[in-house]
Amino acid sequence: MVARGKRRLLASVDLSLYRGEAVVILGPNGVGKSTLLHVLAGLLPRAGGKVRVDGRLAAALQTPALAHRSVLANLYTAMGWWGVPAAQRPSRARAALGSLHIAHLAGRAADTLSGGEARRVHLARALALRSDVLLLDEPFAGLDPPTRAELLGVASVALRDPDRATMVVVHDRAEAWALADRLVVLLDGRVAAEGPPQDVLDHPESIEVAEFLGFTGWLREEDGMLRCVRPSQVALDLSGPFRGTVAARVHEEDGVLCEVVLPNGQVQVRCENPGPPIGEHVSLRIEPGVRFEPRN
Amino acid sequence: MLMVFAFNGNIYNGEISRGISTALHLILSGDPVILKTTGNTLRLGVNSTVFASVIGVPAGCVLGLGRFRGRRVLLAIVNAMTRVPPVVIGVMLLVLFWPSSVWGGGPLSDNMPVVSPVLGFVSPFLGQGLLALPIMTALTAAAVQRVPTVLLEQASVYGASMRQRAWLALREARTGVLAAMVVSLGVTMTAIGVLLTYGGGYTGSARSAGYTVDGGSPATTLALGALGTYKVSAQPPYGDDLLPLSIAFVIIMLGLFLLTAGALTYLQQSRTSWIAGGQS
Repeated sequence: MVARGKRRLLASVDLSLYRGEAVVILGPNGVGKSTLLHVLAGLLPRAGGKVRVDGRLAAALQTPALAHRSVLANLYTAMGWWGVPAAQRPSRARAALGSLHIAHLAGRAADTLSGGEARRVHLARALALRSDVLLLDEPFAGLDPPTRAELLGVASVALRDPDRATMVVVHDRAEAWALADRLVVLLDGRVAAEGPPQDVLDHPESIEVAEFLGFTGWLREEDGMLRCVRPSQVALDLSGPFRGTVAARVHEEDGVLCEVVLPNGQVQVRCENPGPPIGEHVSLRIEPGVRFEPRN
Repeated sequence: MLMVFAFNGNIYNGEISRGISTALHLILSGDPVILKTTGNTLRLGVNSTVFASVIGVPAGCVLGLGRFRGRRVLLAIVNAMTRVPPVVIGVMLLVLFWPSSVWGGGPLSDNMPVVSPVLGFVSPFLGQGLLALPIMTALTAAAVQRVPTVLLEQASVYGASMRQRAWLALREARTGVLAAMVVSLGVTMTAIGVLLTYGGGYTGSARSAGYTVDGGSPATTLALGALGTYKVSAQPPYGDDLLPLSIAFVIIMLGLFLLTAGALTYLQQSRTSWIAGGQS
């Protein structure tokens, strides 16, 4: 448990990380993900509970804080703190920089790096330590979409190591799907769902988890249960059994996201451009989704 | 400036022009008195700054980075001490060092065999060093406090010890620490001049780095005497015509300040080229 004054920031978090797996902690902003990482890294005190680490734990914090030195010097310095023998530092630095495709940055001064480059160096420095447990806090935060996508692709390979347990804290679902062997959804300071990403997505444990994972549509069924669906589970279909009216439209990169109001609920559906106008009556096909007891 | 002279009577424009010309001649010809006094001034300034840095930089690190009760109070005291006038330091040292007085000798006088060797070593720059110490401490503390906390936390997570984090903070704050050294150097050298000007002007007698304190206000005279810095007793071989010599020293001192400040500013501005790329 972690508390600030009388306010509980984290409670009921029971997690195990295993060698060779990448665990992603996913949750909205302010839910306590970074707090959890800070506690595990020893930067914040615990009000209760235990943290047991088999081996050595390193954490790359959210801000890519680099000293005003060269990239290589930053890696060497961190390895020096970690206790890596001087003779091993050059090869480890080369391997880490190479794994993130930034070997060419070795001689650059850290304060001349772009945001994306600094993020990669930050990651490479963490990888170079070869810790038994590696914690990463929002490693892709603040990057523009192309840079983020590129780094995500590189990191999803580089972060997988059979000798290391890796835990990554993110708030973006796309990052979680790219990185996770196991997904942990953190809501309200507690573990709300845990398991292989596809399982968690297919069978969310509660309405809150479903909503956070993108189940934005709901239908009240005849038996009183609530049926939750994601936009990808809904399609415009002239022969579909559901009828509704387009209530809102949001333009997206490759189409339009329409909000459709039905007699027993509302759903979102992605359509090709130009899509139906607001007020148009449409027919829908909706996949089963997941069912929950309605909230009070 | 260690050599300052008092002048009696009026100085005319013609005399100043002649003084400047003679001063330039003295400088270019390498006048021994000028060389010696310049060397003394520099040595005293550098020694005092080194003395203040050796104590003030670690103390500033502790005050800037430490997390302990009373830290803010200590910082406030150190900040307040940066405003202590030089003459107060002088009188304080006088009271501590004066070997024989109505009080029976200061607690750190020559009668203290244990502390004497140490004091003998530091006494030439103790006064100016004490003047610069709070400045070095306060400015170092302010500089390391500006280092991003997340960088130090990151170092901590990667296993950096307290000393390694302090060293990291100092490296990152090197611009501020260098600035503190520039300020300390300036304060130590100018304060020497202020003390002597005040003392000499008060009684109208001449004095210099190379020559004894033979007058002045009781406080400054005794303070400087107690420091044991300059004990050669002689009069400069320049008689009453001290104007060229004074102007020469003013020119040299201005040059020294410009050189010092310029060199350190260059180091501050070109930090990536002289530090980046090094190894831990």
